[in-house]
Formats: sequence, C-alpha cells, structure tokens
Amino acid sequence: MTEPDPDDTVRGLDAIDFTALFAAQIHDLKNLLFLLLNSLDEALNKRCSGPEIGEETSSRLALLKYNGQLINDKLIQMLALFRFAQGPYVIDIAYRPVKELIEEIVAEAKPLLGSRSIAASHDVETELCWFYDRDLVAGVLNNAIHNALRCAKSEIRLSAFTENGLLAIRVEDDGEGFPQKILENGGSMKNLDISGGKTGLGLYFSSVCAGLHTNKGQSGRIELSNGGSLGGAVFTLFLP
Amino acid sequence: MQFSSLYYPCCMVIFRLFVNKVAEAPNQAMNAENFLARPSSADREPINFQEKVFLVIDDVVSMRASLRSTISTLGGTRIDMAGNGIEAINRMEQRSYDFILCDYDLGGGKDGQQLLEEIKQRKLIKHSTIFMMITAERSYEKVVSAAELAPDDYLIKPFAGEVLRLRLEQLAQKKAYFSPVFALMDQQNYRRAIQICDELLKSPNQYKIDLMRLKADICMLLGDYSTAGKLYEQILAFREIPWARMGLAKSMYHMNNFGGAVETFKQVTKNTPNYMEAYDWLAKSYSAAGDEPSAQQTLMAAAEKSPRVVHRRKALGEIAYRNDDLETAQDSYEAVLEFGKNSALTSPEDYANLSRVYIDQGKCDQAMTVMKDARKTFKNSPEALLHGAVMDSLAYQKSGNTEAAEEALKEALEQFDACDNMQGSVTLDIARSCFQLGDEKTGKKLIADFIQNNHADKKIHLHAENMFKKIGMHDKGKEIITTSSREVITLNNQAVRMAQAGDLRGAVDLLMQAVAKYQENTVIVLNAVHAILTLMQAQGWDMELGKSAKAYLATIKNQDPDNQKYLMLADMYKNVAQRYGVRL
Repeated sequence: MTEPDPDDTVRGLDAIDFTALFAAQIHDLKNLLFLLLNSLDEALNKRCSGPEIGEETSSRLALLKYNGQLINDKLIQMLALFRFAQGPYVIDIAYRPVKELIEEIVAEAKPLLGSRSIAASHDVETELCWFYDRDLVAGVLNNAIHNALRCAKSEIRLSAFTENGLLAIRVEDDGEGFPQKILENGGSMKNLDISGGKTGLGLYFSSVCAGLHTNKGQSGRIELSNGGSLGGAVFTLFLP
Repeated sequence: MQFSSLYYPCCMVIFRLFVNKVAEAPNQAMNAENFLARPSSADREPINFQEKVFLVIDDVVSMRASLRSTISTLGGTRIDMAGNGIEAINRMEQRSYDFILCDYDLGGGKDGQQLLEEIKQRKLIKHSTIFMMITAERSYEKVVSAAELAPDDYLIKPFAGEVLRLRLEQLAQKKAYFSPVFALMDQQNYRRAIQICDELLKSPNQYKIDLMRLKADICMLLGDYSTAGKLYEQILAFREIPWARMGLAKSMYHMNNFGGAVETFKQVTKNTPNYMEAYDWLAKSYSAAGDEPSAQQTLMAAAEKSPRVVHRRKALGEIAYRNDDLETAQDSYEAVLEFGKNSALTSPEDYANLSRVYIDQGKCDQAMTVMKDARKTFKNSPEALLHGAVMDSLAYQKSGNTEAAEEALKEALEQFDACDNMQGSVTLDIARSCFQLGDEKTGKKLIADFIQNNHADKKIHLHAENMFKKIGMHDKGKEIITTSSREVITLNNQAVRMAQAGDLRGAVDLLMQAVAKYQENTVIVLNAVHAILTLMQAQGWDMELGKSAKAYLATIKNQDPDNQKYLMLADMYKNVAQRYGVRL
C-alpha cells in the first residue's frame, strides 16, 4: 500500500473543463431549486387552504421563496451570458401577445409578496402583440421585479405600451429610486465591473438581452430613471 | 402590409394583484364552420384540470413527485408517471392523455426530443394532446427546429404552478383555434384548409404569423411554391425569422431557382450557423446547380459541426463518391455504420455503400468483411443477401477470381428476381457486375428498366453515369441511359401535347398504356392520375376511370406517401369526386 500522491489529485483537476462543468452544474442547481421552490409553494398553498400556519410563518416562507428566486435570477444570468459568449447565439423570436407575458410575470411574482402590503398593477394594451424571445424577456423582467420588490414601500406597477415604434415594458416602484451612481451610466451597462464586489450582473444581462433583439437596424435597450408614476425607480425595457 | 395592422390599438386593463380576476368572456366553440371567433387572452377559458389526464415523464423520482404536487395544486387528479421513454410509450399505448409534461433530460437512452419524435411518428398522441417539454435551459434546437417536430411549448425550471396553469390554458386555446385546419389536413383536404387559414387571417389576431406559416407549409405540400414563397416574404417583411428565410429558400429550390436558393440558404447558415437543416438544403441546391464540389464542402462543414447525424453522413458519402473523393466517402460511410449501429437508421445498402468504396480502393478483403457484417446484422434478410452477393461478386472480380465472381453474380440475380420492387443502388451494382463479367445483355436490360422507372430522377441518372464511367463505359453508358429515358419522355410528352391540344381522352389512354408498361414510374403514374382527374373535371365522373385513379393513387401512397404531387392529386381527387357527388 502506498499513500496516494496529493499531486496526482491536483493533476487530475487540470483535466477538467471547468467552463463545461460550471454550465452543467447550473443545470443541476436549477433542478434542485425547482424542488426547493416547489416545496415552499406547497407550504404556502397549505397556508391558503387552512389556518395551520400563522401569518408570520407565511411571510417568512414568502421571503424564503423570494431569496430562492434571486438565486435563480443569478443562475439564469450566468448561464445565458455563458451561452452568449460561446456564440453565436440565436434568440427565439416569436410573435406573441404581450399580455400573456405580463400575466406570467405577475403569476411568478405573486407568491413573493407574502403579507406585505405591496400591490402590483399592470396596464397593458389588449391585443398588443410583439416579436420577442419570451424566455430572455421573462428573465429580464423577473429580475427587474425582484429588484423593485426589495425597494418598494407599497406598490409596484408593471406596464406595457408602444413608443416610437418600440415596445416598452416598464417596472416602477414607490421606493427610494436608483442610486445616483447607477443612473450616471444611463442604466445601459456597457461592461461588467467584477472588481467592485456588487457586479451589476443583472443590469448587464438585461442590456445584453435587450440588445439581442434587433429589427431593421434598430436594437433593444434598457433605460433606468427615477420618478415615474409612483415616484421611485423606473426600469424600462425597449424592444424593436 | 403595415406592421401596425397586426394589433389592435390601446385599451387599458388595470388590476390589482390581490383582487385580480379579469372578467372572462365565454369562449366560442371552434369548428370548421365557425372560424370567426377571435381569440385573445381575455376570452381564454379556464380549464377544469380535474377532468384532464396527465402524464409526467422524468427519470428523477423526486422531480416526478414535485411535478405531481404542482399539478394537483391546479386541481389535476388523474396523473400517470413514467421514468423513461419506454415506460412513457407503454403508457401512451394504453391511455390517451390531455397533457404530457416531459423532462428534456431523461438520464440515459432517449432524450425528450427523441421521445417526442418517436411519439409523433407512431401517432401515439391525439392532435389535441398538449406536449410540454420541461428543461433547465432552452435547447438550441427549439429555435431552429421544424414546427412539426417541436413540442407545443417549453417550460424552463424552476417555474411556479400558476405559470404552468397559464401556459396550459394558452396552449389549449391555441390548439382549439387551429384544430379545424389540422382536422382538414388530416383528411388531406388541403384546399379547404387553406381557405380556413385565409378566413382566419382576415381578422387580425395573435396567431397571424403562425397562420401564415401554416398556410405557407400547406402551399408547399401542394406544390404551390410561388404562393408559399410570397407568404414567407411577407413574414420576412415583418421580421427576420430563420424558419421564414429557410422556407423562402426552399420555395426557390422547388421553383428551380437554384442560384437564388443557394444565396438564401447561405444567408441562413450565416445568420444562424447551427441551423443544420440549412446545410443539407444548401448542398442540395449546389448539386442541383451542378456545383458538386461546393455541395460536398457544405456537407463536410456540417458533418464537422454535428458528426453523429447519420443521414447527413450518408449524403456526404454519396456526393464524395460521385466526386471520386474515395477517402471522404470511406470516412462518411464508416461513420454511418458506426453511429447508426443498432438503430433503424441503417440498412444493408449502407454496408454496400462502404463495401463499394473499399472495392474501388482495391481493399477487397475489407469489402467482403463489411458484407459479412451486413448479413449478420440483418440476420440474412433477402435484402442483405442480395447486397452481399452483389458486392462479393464485385470484390472477387477486383481480386481476379472470375469463377467465384460469376458464382456470386448468379446468386445475386436469383435474389434480385425474388425481391420485387428493389430500388436504389443495388441495381447499378448488379448491372456493373454483369457488364464487367461480359453479360452485356442482362446489364443493359437492368439499366433500361431502372432508368425507365425513374426517368425524371436526375440523381439516379448521375449515379448510373458515374457507374459507367468507373467501368470505362462512359459513352456507351450514356447512350443506354439516354435511349431508355427517351422512350418514356417521348410517351409522356406526346400525352402532354394531346392534353394541351384538348384531346384529354387521348392523353388519358396513352398514359394508362404507359402505366401498364412502366408500373413503377412514379411520374408516369401521377401524370396518368392528373390526366384522368382533369378529364373528369371537365366531362363528369367516370366509374372506371375513377377506380383506376384511386388505384394509382394507392400505389403511390404505398411507395412514396410524402410525394408532393401525390398530395396535390389526392386533394384534387377529393374535390372532383365531391363536385360530382361521388361518395368516397
């Protein structure tokens, strides 16, 4: 019997293709999150059908679920950016009602509200259809909603309309608004600054996803501002 | 068409999350005669999930359990489970499902997409069944896949139960909207299906693009390529979508505009480099335009991108062999056998293809070993024995053993007579062996029959010419091919001229005689049907002719059910019969 040479183990690590490994692991993590979030849903549903769980537990569950969603946002962003970088990435443009998308976003957000008195309303032009990649746009909007949920005092508003031939989808809240530093960049993140701790990955991801939507020389973009109809942060996604 | 005509302008809906039910308008029932209902998300009908039967397919137990609990929160109670593709198929054979939720990754064996393709091929699910693929990440294939092989939708994990409900409701609404069109397509009543598409397109709605795509697809089926091309152009005027660009290119190909097709397919491969089907069509277009080297290069590039796709390797082998690039041909045919092993994707012909390359390279032992493999793999099926005998005879000749070669050829000819309706390369191989062994008469007869039954198939002419070139009979071979096809062409043209001059009856008689002589010639049989139907359309139904037309159509359906002219004529047959009140 000989002792295993620790160098051998380390040398084995050299052979691993880490980019591929990370991408594969994200799949596993998403599967695990699915199980986790589903059990949370079950618990939340039990609370709806009977008074077994108290108000406080219920709002804790909602918070748990919210944090789970934040993890999912990050995973989506990392996986998508990885695929974009591998390139060439072809988005799945289809012509769909915008209302369908908004309904789904709202349905995803609903369980996260818990017993907090945050309300969301949405205005959508009915029969408004557009060409967009549903999964990418949902990724962007879910992320915006999750940010808004963190800052909003009592209300979030989701609206969709057309402006200068572009589809605009707007997420507003009644919180403190975006910090000045973020607004200085105009919200359109050109590149990623990983050194500063908080990476702004979400905004970067959003602006890349918007930019992947192109039509007749125009491309999509995001816009950040403060004020709006609720007086807080305003996130707008424009799609050509 | 203006983009703005695609949607209805402004009308505000506001609701609070906690109060949140939008009043639902009752959904109108959809059927073939009531197609004016305009769908919108507002009149979507909630589904009573308790009445619905679900099948969940996932290899992970905890995932199945989790999906079951999600479905039960929607109210579903009739939920079956399957842990792999085989179990899923067993379930589907026993019960019919309304909703199938299938994980893309099913562990080993088949993945969700392969399972779906098998299900669709074997028609194990109803048109109304909703097949939802569940996945951690949207697969690239979705973006570029052919509509008929795609699942109804994808759902990306994790997702909330409410989102599943919304999706299923949207999909059920969409299925109901399109069901009259699909029902008519099932009855091969394509013209009526197009009419319904047109009616539906009159009122702007969310399915406008899908409807245009469907209509274009049906037009392609019917051979109305110019209408299809225009539809794809209209879609492209709204938006650059890969499948629409692809459709446009295909319509050009079918209208013999090979230059335009090459340019357009190239555009697809440039914008969407992973749209693999585009490479196949680009190669086909190059070949049709006579640029075989570019065709080969295109397929080589595609094979490099996805090396395991058997049908593409086959096409590459074929073209490389024609281009005398034996090394690439060998490589490709070896890959076909390697990746297609133990699947329904290979046939004895694939073994013969490789064996033929070995013979041309002078590797006679290898050539015979391959055929031994073929006989073993296909358990001495008549087809395997036939191919085996032919290739053996060619290999013996190459190695100078004439006696054994003659023995093998004799066996091959016996097998050939015993197999009826043998198509494809084996005929050329037998003919080659006959010519090389000095039996010119039999060789000539084989080639003449082969060409006469396929007089309009340019690829078969090329293969035949190539075979003659290989055995140093280029000029003589060309003459045999030309004489053989000339006979059929003359007959066919004579009939067409008669029809054009108004003598429909004469054209019908001539073509029916031609069918008796060249029973396996699809073009002649279909032309005969076409002439009969045109005659009856003008002069009324004739019991005898109607019967013949029906019988001819049945033979083609047997041989080549996807033949586009067949589909067009099957549709025409129905229309003419209907017009004269003939019960089918």
